[in-house]
Amino acid sequence: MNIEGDAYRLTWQDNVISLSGKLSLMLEDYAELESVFEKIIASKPSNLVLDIRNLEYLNSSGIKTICVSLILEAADIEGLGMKILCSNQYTWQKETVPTFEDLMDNMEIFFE
Amino acid sequence: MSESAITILGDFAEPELVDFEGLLSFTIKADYIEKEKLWKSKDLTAEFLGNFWRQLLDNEDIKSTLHFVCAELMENAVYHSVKSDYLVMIQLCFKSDELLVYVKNSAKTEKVEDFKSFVRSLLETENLQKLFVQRMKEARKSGTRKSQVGLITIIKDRGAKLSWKFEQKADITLITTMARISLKRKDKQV
Repeated sequence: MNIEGDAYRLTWQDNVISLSGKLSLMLEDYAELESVFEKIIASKPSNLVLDIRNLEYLNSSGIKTICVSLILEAADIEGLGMKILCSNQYTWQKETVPTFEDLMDNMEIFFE
Repeated sequence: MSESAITILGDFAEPELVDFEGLLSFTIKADYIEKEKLWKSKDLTAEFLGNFWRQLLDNEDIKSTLHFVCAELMENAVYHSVKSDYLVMIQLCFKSDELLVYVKNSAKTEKVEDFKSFVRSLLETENLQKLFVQRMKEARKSGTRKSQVGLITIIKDRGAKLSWKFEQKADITLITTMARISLKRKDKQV
């Protein structure tokens, strides 16, 4: 599955969700991403990888969407492990993504 | 002229009283441009401000912080501004050791009290990470789109300090948000 926005791209394949570009939509415009996350959660995957190594910018509505519609939902699926792949290249990722760890027990965050 | 009631929350300093070395200001009437176009111009403005001050101050770290802080405060302003002659204004003052970002917008007075309560909890909390997790869980439970995570993130992750001035004028309240960004080091609160 692919979604192409004005400045961002989302792909979902083999339990890997990749987000790239700049994601700074208006709050109501995150409905499309929320619905993709819903489908992913409904498929009850045994593991999930969120690859944001090429996500240059994420606004607070995007942070909320990822935390609420993906991570907290994933946290409720028994046995599901989640990995988030990040890049040291982007300051916001270093500052913000580690704070997601308190939302889910079985989560690992990797920087490269 | 009608009287206005003023409330200050946090360590707010009037821009007129700040002894600054440089200033950039961008002002637009809230009803002049469609919300969607204002939203896109907000991204460009925030990115420009980040790049401009990075070059001027020769400080690489400031770009990402300033971009996020300006974009988030302008997003709030664009969302809440009332369709009228009231303005959305961003003003950036450079002092020797800090940058001050002011964003001014209007809002319906009836909606401001809830926001003030949140601001008080934000300024009083000793654990922003706990507040972040709490707001995320509440947003999931209630299905609300509003979480105020932007303001939490500005303080918690970007190390800026926030304060507010509310000028209540009958149906409309003018809200000025001030962000202090230290140029010495990042004062992270956890």
